[in-house]
Amino acid sequence: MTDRDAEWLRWMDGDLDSEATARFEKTLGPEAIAARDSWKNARAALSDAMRPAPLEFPDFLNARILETIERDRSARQPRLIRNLIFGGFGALAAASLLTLLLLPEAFRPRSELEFISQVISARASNPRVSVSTFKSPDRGVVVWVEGADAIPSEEEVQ
Amino acid sequence: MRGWWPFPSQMRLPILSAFWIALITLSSCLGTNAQAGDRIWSAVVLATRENPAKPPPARLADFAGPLQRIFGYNTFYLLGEKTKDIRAGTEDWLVPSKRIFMKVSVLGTSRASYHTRVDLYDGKELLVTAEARLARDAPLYIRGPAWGKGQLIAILEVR
Repeated sequence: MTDRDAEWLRWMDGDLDSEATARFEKTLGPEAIAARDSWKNARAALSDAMRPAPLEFPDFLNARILETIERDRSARQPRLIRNLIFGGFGALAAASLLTLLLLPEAFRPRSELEFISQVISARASNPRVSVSTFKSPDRGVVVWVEGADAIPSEEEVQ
Repeated sequence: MRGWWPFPSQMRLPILSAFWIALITLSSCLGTNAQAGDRIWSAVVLATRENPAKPPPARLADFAGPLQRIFGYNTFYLLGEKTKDIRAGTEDWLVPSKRIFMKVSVLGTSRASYHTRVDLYDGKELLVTAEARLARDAPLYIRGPAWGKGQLIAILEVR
């Protein structure tokens, strides 16, 4: 954009002071003045047309708009709760199904035997030594070794 | 956000919830089965009959009652103890005392117990081999050889 173009735009918008306007207008022909006037009229007409129409009952309209917004918001709330409930139950069902498929034993009730120690077999390497087993009173189990050589008291054990 | 999600947006919440709960459930089930963090405690105890009986050491306080009922002694001395991690497929030497020690092989695990093979040694001599299922907090007592005026007892417990 040249300086002349810029000055032209400022003149059209009425931004030039009176001295600059007079000087600039001396360089223009009558058709330019007519074009500027036509533009001024068009701008004024547009401003009038775009001015918001006064509302007859502005408070009533505002109240209705706020009411609609509130209604929309409260309609969304139950949907969220419903989604959460369905999501929760769906998640539990999926977790249970997966666990059932991958780890079926997780659903098997635990038997009391799982919580006590048991001896499956016990044997001594020395034929002179005998071994027997029995339950202890604290869910434990005892391996009773009989016939092992005693350790002399002078020998260190610790 | 929309790009990576292949399902309708209404399905996001249920599917993500299902994924997380399934993940948590599975990991807790796996954790229970593997019994991660369990340890095996071993001890060698000298049991004697004394008059008057001496109170048991603090570490044996929970065992004093059962020991007395099973073996008939009234005084117990803790000669040594050892604790190690326990995992399936491992083989560990537990040496609570210089003379009496054990080799514990974990042959397998179930939800609440360890399938183990325990070899009890008196010095270099293998005294007894026992295959046992050890449940948590349910001890295995092995009556060992006599020593002086008392009896040596080995204890193994999963904790």
